[in-house]
Order: sequence, then structure tokens, then C-alpha cells
Amino acid sequence: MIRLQQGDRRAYQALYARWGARTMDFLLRRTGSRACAEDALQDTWLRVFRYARSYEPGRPFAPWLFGIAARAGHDAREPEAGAFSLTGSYEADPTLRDRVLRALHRLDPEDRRLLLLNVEGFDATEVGRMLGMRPGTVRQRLTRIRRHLQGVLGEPDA
Amino acid sequence: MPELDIMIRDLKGAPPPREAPRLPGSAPRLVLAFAALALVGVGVYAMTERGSYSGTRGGTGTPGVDLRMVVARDGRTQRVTRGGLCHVGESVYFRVASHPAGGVVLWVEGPAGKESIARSPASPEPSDLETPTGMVSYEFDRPGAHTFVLAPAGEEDCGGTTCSKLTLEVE
Repeated sequence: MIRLQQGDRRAYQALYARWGARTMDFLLRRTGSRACAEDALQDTWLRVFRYARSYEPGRPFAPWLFGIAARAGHDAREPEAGAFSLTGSYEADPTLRDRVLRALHRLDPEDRRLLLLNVEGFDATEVGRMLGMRPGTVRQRLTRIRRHLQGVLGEPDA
Repeated sequence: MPELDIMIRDLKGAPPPREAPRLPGSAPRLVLAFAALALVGVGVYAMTERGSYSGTRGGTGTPGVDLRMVVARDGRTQRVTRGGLCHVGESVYFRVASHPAGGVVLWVEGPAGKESIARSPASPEPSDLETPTGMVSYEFDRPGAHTFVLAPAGEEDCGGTTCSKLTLEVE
């Protein structure tokens, strides 16, 4: 990132090679569609380049990057299940993927961002910093969101 | 049923493009020249086809700007077009383009009079109107007609046909 701040464009490609796939997975979950995720991916990485100087050296890169990704582009009106593979949790029950996806995209977009950032590994303080919320508020909302999703996914027709 | 976080992490798709999004100014000159021509012709045509932009576009050497807006509604974003209806309390967001690239100025003329919203650089490729702290938005706090005007910087009088305007009704 420091090399990018110094104007080294190869550093941009190197950063993307390292973080692009993780950013894409996050954006695909967040937006719900491949086309929207690709738009948001482009927005995200162009902002990484454009605002590279606003990154403070010495601070972790991931929260800065995902703070940008959380706001980039727009979410799809309806999620496209076909954009997601049937691996991992979904090998045994393909319908589970559709239910999880649908439940996730019925959340308020800010709740979805909040949850996905937390699932990405950022704690309440980091998520709060990214989304402009107090850590206590983030914790409360995460508890509420998880409880809601577990309830919805536990229902037979969810 | 697997744990919730694991199920969410398992929501994955095909890998992203191998190459990072192309940076401004990183294309060879010939490609840039071609891109400039294409933007004047095909790009403008494509934006017109999508019907999501309002106002006059450059294409004959005259600077032109484009304005597109979405409204956050019921937890989703929806495009709004000329004459669209919004409600007090809703927020709109902006995507802007400028042909050729240059500074743009956005303001709204509504029941409260003229309010400046943002100044920003813009490129021929539509992009979110934003500042380093995030996307620019405008929240409606009163009903009535609101006309959003995007102008090239320095041409706020909208002389000629350089501005892009979009009027919404708010109730």
C-alpha cells in the first residue's frame, strides 16, 4: 500500500492479486448478483487507487479496504442464486443456499453490510469505524440480526 | 444445519477477473484516443439507451454532463427518473459523468431555494458522486418539486445546453 501511495502502479495489481478474490466474495454476498458485484468490485478498486493517500500507513489494510467495499456500488433488487456455487454447506442440501441467500437479502442493506463485515472477521469496533456506528450499537444489532436469521432459517418454508 | 457464519462464508461464486480494474490513464495513447471517440459516440448512445440519464450530453466538442440518481427505499436502491415521486425522509444518491472529464457542480432547486450539494471531478465513465468520506446523498425534508442540476464547473449559469437537470416530486 505504501508503494501504491508512492505512485507505483504495479503495487495496485499486486494488492488486487492478493485481495481481489476475497473482496469479490464479500461483494457477491453483499450485492447478491454477479453483475452488481463486478460493478462494485470495479468501484472499490478504483477508489483504492484514488484514495490511496487517505490510507494511514501502519494501520491494518483489510478494514480500510472493506470499509470502501461496504459502500461501493449498489445491491441487486433480487439475489441471483445461480451466481453462487453449491459447495461447502450446500453440497448436501442445495435448497439451503437459496434459503440463506433469500434470508440475507431480506435484511435491511445496512444490517446485511454489518453482518457480512462481522462474518468477514471484523469485530464490532472495526465494523463501527467502517460504518460510522458505536461498537455497542454494532454488537446489539449483530445479536438481533443473527437471532432473526437463525429464526427465519429454522422455519420450514424460510 | 451448519452454523450461520459458516453458511454465509460458503456463499461463493466464480473468481473475479484476474486483472485489476484498469486505472485512469493506464491505457496506451492509441487506445485512449479510440476510447475518447467511442465515448463521444457509443458511450453516450449506450447511456441514452439505458434511459437513466437526464439532460444534454456532449458529443460535438461542447462540454456535457450526465446525472443519474437512485433513491434508498424499503431497504433497496431504485433508480429515479425525471418526474419520479419521492417521499420526505428518503435519500437520493448520484452518479455523474462529464464529457470530457472535468469538474462538476451539483445543486438542487427546491422549496427551500437553491442548495449546493457537491463539487467533484468527473470522468466520461459514470461514477458515484462522492467525497473522500463517502458517497454524497441528499435527504428530502420537505414536499414539493426538487430540480437537481449538474453543471460543468465554471458554467453554473447553464449557458447553452451544458447542464443536466432532473426534477422529482416529493410528497
